[in-house]
Amino acid sequence: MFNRAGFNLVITEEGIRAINNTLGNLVLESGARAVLLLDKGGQLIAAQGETNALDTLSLAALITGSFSSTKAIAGLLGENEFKVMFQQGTNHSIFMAALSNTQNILATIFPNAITVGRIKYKCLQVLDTLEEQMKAMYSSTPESPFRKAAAAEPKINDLF
Amino acid sequence: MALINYASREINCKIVYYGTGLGGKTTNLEYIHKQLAPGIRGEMISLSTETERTLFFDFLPLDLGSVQGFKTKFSLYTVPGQVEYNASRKLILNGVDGIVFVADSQTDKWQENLDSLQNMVENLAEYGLTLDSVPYVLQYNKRDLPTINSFEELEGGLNPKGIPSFEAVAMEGSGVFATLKAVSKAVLNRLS
Repeated sequence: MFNRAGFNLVITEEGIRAINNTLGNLVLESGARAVLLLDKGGQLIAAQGETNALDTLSLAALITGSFSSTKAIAGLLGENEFKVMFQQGTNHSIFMAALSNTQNILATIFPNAITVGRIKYKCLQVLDTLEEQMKAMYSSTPESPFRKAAAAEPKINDLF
Repeated sequence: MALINYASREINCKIVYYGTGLGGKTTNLEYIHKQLAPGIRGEMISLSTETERTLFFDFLPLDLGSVQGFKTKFSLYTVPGQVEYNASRKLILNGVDGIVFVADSQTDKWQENLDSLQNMVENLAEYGLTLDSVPYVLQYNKRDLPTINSFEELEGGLNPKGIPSFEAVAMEGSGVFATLKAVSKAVLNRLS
């Protein structure tokens, strides 16, 4: 429903502040290195933690792809999708969880000194809050900062 | 689904390069990556097989500068063209804002082009989208090869609605930026 033609997700200052607070608290309470809130289309909505050290745009695209690709496996088991996913590395791991009613994924990157159980517990605790915060933004009136179509053209022409 | 962020004053849009296998979708992104300065584009990520066929997708983020005080960022994706990877193609269309359909101009690819276009229409329908609701442009690639359909033949078969179309030789870069520019403008115009 969120990919319908002409639909845009408008992120308001108030909305993103609330989400960043939730994500920031999750980083503090869980000990995660970084948390990312993603759209299932691959867009990065918000990130907190050591984000400067990470290529968050590429992570967003790859994590979304990884998470979404398991949907076909879930289908073979009669599931709509897998709700959580865990990828373990030597030093760092990623825990991913789908928000239930919006098209978003919460991805938490954490050092292996922290148990996945702790991360999972902390992440699942904030899913409902994030769900409500995203719903509020999805239901805001789509609007565009581009007042006139022609206004965009000269800038684009300059780029190539 | 464009993401308009009033807090960071950014607009993020997703453009997908669609088309037959070995048609030149990845080559388009590679040329764009090679030509643009690192400040404008991010690193290109390719999830490909050992024989460099696209397995899942290619990804290239671009920062196209400011328009009306908003930084415009485009994420370019390709889909795997091979017929058996339809589940992946469908996933990558999630959240799409604009499409470049890369057609292979070679005569023996005629039916594959038609099938791929039809496949794209069917996959868009899964998201409630149609070619009338998503900005898209056509690129007729491999115009340098000897056995190709004429521009008029390709237009007749693939472009009944007369959307913007471009002849290209993606290996050499010909037509690559004209195509990107056209789809970028179409996407931004849709936002207005």
